[in-house]
This record gives sequence, C-alpha cells and structure tokens, in this order.
Amino acid sequence: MPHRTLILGLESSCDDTAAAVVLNGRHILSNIISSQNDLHRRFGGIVPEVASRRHLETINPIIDEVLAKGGVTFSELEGIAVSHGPGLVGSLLVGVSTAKALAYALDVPLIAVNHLEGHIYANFLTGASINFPVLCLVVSGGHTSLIHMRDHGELSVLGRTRDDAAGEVFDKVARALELGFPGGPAIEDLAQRGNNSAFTFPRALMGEDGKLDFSFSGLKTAVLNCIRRETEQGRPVKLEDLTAAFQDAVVDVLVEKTALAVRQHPVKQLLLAGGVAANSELRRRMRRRMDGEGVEVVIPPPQLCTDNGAMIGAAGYYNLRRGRVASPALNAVSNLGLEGV
Amino acid sequence: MLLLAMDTTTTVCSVAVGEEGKLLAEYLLNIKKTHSQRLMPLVISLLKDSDVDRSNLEGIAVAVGPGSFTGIRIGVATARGLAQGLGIPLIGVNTLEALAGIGASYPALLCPLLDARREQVYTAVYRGGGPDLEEVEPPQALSLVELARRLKSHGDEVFFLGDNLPAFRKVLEPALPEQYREMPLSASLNRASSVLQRAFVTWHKEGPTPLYALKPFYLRLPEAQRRLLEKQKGVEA
Ligand SMILES: [Zn+2]
Repeated sequence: MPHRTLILGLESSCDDTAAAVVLNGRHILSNIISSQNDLHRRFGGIVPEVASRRHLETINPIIDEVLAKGGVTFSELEGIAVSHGPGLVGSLLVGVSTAKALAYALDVPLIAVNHLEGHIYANFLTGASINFPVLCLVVSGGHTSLIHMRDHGELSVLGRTRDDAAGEVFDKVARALELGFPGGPAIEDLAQRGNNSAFTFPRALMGEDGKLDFSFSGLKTAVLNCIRRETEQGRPVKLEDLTAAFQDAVVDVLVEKTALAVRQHPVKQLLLAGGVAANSELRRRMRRRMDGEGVEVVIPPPQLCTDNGAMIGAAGYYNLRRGRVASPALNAVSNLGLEGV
Repeated sequence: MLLLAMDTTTTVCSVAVGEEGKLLAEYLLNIKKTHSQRLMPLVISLLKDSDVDRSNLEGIAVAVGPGSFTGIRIGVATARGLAQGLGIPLIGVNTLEALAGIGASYPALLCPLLDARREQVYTAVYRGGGPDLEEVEPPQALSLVELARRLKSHGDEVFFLGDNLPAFRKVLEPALPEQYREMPLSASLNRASSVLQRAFVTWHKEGPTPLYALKPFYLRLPEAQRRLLEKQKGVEA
C-alpha cells in the first residue's frame, strides 16, 4: 500500500448521509454529515422511503464537497469504502450503489464495511494508540453489543441486546415525554438537573451469572407505565427526575455488564462506540468504573460517535490492508452480522 | 458520442452501450433478483465484451422512473456515481417514454404499462409513426378502468407494452375489444437500447442533465407523506 493512502468513506445506513476522506485509517482530512432529523421530525420517527429519497438527493453533492474541503481529487483516492449493513436496506442501497459505481469509474478497490465495525473504528481517529486485544461496547439506536477484538478483522460478539437497543429506548421514552426526536440529547440535558433516586427502575439481566447479554424492554415498559400512571393520577411528571432515574438505569446496566466482560476477558483497553457513547453520563461513569479495573477507556468525540463517513473510511483502510476488496455484486444487507468481517 | 444506458426501474435489469444510430451491445435480465447485485456486474461485462474502455464513454443515460422506488434509486445512484467518477454528462429518460419508444415507428397509439400496485398502473399514451413520439396522455398512475375509458374516447388502435401484460390483458381486452393490440414479447420489455435511443433525442432537444439536476421520477409520494398530507387536509376541512 502506498505511504499515503486516502480512502473515501460513505455512510447512508439510517438517516444521515455522510462522506469523509481519511488518511491511512487514522487522520480525517474532511468529514461531512448531512442529518435528516428535521425531515423525519414531523413523522415522529424515521420513514424509510423518505430517508432513501433524501440520501439520493444528498450523496453526490456531499462527495464533491468533502473532496474539495479535503483538498483531494478523485485521482488521489486509493479506495471507496461504504457501509453495507446493518441498517435500513433502502438507505444502504443508495450508498452501496454510489460506491460501486464510483469505484468502477475510478478503477479503485471497493471496500465493504460493516456499520458496527465502522463505529468501533471511530476510535482509531482519536489519536489514541490502540493495542489489541481490546473490548468494545457499541451502543446506538440499533445496537447494544459487547465485542472482543483480538486484531483487525478478528471480532467476536460476547453479548448483545435480546430486545431493544439502548438508543432505541432513549428515543421511545423521549417520544412518550414529547421531547422530540432524536431523544438522547434532550434526555441527557434534562437528567443533569434531576434526582436519579426519585424513581426506581429495573436493571435487567444483572443477576444472570456471567451472562453478557442486555435487555432494555423491561426498563422501557416500566418507564412508560410510570409516565402513564403519574399522568392518570393527575401528577405532572417531573421530567428532570424521571429522565435522571431512567438514564441512571441504562448507564448502570451498560457499565456493570462491561465491568463483567472485562473480568472475563482481561484487556488493557475499552473502546466505546455508537450514538449513545456521546452521552456524557455514560462517558463519565464508564471512565470512573474502568479506572478501578485498570482499563483505559477510549471514546471518540461525540461527533464521531454518531453515524459518519470517517469511521467507514478508517475501517475501510484496515480492511483494504488485509486485502479485503468487495465484488461489484456487493449488496446491502439490513441484518448484516459482525461474524467474518 | 458513446453512451452507456441502463434501466432498473422494473423487474428487468438492462444495460446497453452504443452511439447514435448504432447499438454495440445490450444485456437484459428479467429474473426476480435484486438489481443491486446484478447491475454493476452487467455493466462491467457489457463494456468488457464489447471492447469499450470506460474512459471512452462520453455520457451515461438512465431510466429515471416511474417504476419501483428502489429500482429507480439503484439506477439513478449508479448512473450518477459513474458520471461523477468519470466526469461525463448524464441524461435522464422517462421509463414510460423509453418503453413506448420501442414501438415508435408504429402509426398507432402506444400505451406502456407498469405495475404501480394499489390497483393502478403507471402509464402514458403516445402516438407513434411520426418523426418523434407525440405525447397524448402524460405519465401518471391510473386504474385500468379509467385508462380504458380515456383510450376509448381516442378510438384508435392501441399497442400495449410492458412486462406484466398478461395480468392487465384480462381487464383491457374486453374493455377495448376493437382497439386492443399487444406488442410482441421481444418488444414489450424495458430495454436499455431504447433508453439509449431516447437519450439521443433528449440530448438534441435539451442537452445533458447536470449531475445534481438528474432527478428520479417517482410519480408518487412516499406512503407516510401521503397519509400525513391527507390528515392535514382533513384538519383544514
Ligand atoms: Zn450507527
């Protein structure tokens, strides 16, 4: 591989259209994210067909813009990386079709990146030196997974959510409280000013010996029931307290399960990833807990925790270095697993 | 001028390469496999088999719909990616116009039909036989019954085209006993060679479409948006 390897990373798996130019898997030259939040707000959630249409309108201008911003021309690119799953299939297809066509037009390798793997690689863009083996906690609107990573491309899933993802529960609770979409930032903001012991919510699967799976649907039901009960009894819910208690329950489970994983699979580093990793309470409590375990915590800055093209470009670089080039028959896979990445 | 043309807006996945008045090669698959997996491999073998170097292409023509929303996006995203990477112009062609274009020399009405679900078809009516297709009814989504009513008023023979004719024949033939005609199967599927041919017509009339201006032609709003609009209208009323 050349000394200076520039990869264009494309991301369109959900409701953000994103592109970035990444140097040697480590440095961001330019990074552009076009959020569709405003578009979906009036529907109260993401509408796949609406998302797909917007991706198609946005992706080509963003590619031009990201190259211009990075001072890079098409002829300098060594590969096009794209996330091909998991995610919304219609959304993914826009990125995948664009990437395949571009790679062929430019006669450079097409690199397929698993979206979850991409989230993990946001950590390689932090400047931290990462030494395998490491543990990764990926927490987002679609995923809550503990992953053991022995090397590039050698990942095993230790535990995952059996029902709702942590970020999904944040969104649903926010919707019930009419805090808008997406729910994470609004809840975090309110919770800062609340009393987390004003309500008691369940922490699921904490008692299951040695199991690293998560479950958040019980918590979701408990919070939604609590909101209904309080409203029915004519008591206005104190938003600050309720969100504080709810967030506390989510963070507790994430931190304790991770601590358990670290004991079962001794590592020196923990990488946090995914949209929920932007939550400052989780960042703070995870750091404090891991300090006690002698484990260094690496967390990308908030703007690299949510979906972005840079993480896909970074993962793409390491995939390319391992010779993993995708075929022009590459498809979008909505339920793509992490096995065999 | 050497163009690559493609159509993925229906169940057919077709690609062609050629110049004005000269078709070099065309591939067509009418199998129910995802266009996402088939399109780029087809493009690559088409160019390879016809000894065309991608760097010699001078434009990309693509069917922009109506048709399957996903199919439209795969075609348009691929065409745009190729045009952007190769730095060459794009030409968008209406799917119905491309389909009718296959029969352009017939001095009769031409009526392409595409399944639009919800008991409707995407259709348009053109008159053939002249120097160019003449639009009689613009592209729209209609029920077969309404379409037959409109065609009856024209009184002329109508040649129907499309990949789903057997399903539509049951309604249209009895409704238009004097006028109903079918194009032969070989001239009834969306083919990229017709997109190619129509692209030259558009090119001469309007020139190429700028990269960002090439818009998919969905004809319909997303279901959720339609319902939201209806609800808003209901509130106003
Ligand atoms: Zn994500």
